[in-house]
Amino acid sequence: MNRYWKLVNFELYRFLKLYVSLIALTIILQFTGVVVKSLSYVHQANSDIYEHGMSRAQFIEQNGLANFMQIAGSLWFLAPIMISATVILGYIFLIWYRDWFAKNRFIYRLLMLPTSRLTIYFAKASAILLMVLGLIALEIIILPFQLSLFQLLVPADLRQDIPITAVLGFQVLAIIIPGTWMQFVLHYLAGFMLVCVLFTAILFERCYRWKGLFLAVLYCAASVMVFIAPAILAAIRIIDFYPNELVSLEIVLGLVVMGAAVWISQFLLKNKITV
Amino acid sequence: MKRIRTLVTLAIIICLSIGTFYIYAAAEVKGYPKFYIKKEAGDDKEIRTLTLSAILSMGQFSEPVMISAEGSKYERELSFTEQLNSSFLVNDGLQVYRDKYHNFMRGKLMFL
Repeated sequence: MNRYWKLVNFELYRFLKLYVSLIALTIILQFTGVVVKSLSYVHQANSDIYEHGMSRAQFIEQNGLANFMQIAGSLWFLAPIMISATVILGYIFLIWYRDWFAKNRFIYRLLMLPTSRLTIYFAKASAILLMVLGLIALEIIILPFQLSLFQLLVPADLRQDIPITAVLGFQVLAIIIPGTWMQFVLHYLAGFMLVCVLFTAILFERCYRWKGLFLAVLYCAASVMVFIAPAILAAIRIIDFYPNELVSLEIVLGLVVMGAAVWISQFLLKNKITV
Repeated sequence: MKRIRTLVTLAIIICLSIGTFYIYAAAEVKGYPKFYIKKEAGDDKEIRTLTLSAILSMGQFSEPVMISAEGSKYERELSFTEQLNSSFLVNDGLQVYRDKYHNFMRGKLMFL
């Protein structure tokens, strides 16, 4: 267990530079977005009201009140989230491949550690999960500050104040920070499953090279098929599920897919891996 | 501890912020606008079986709310399993039939 924690720490530390730049990028772009969007609204209000002689009520009727969702739905806000997601998705692959293609084959040393090789697998997977959760935590921490900044920049009679839960209740934000705790757990369990499946696919490729790539695609397709089987059954109208049945079924299927991923990886790491 | 510093720091930040957020989120829903049916005249009894399915919308955000003689209840206030079983927007009495008849309205999309 001790080795596991050290390995997770090691993986996190290796990603730290890129991670800090993602954090900086998110903070800079999102706060800039808040300032730009708020000021452009206020500027337009000023020019319409004081230069074109529109009344306040008329202006509000035409443009609507400013609310934070307009900012949270803008590219200023969403682009850093999408960039971070892309980088981490790429790093899911890089976290393995960098060990193979680094100088003097670092994976060799990793695999020689006197510990179960599955420990390395889980350490890498947990590191990815922690990186994602860390960025979510960042978003949650900076959001109140962004809201205050918005309230500072837009006068009270031109804005509509919206509770934080509502700000987070739409678009991508509703997926990465769902409204209830239980949904949060389910979303990130599904995410963890995805990481396990991709890791196993990578190991297929690493074990059998070009043939492995083919196997990896087949394996991913099979995993996806198992996971979305209930939706397919419902779509071709063989059997329909109530939402509660569907969720229980998906949890079970998710665990099956995850279990299969870990079991196959265990086999590959133990018997088939080549450096 | 010193050798797993990055991990420990990150884990603490994650637990504190996400934990706080969900505690706050649960509390904030209680502060959503409340609706009730005000009696002006007439018989109380008539209103007891009435449920209004409504949607509160703020900006691009909308949240289902049910208004009855007991006041208003938001979908978010329900527990996770209740949310899944709820026919919140459609009909309060649906659940009764569902319990009675196993396949009642199975596979019917229930949107407004």
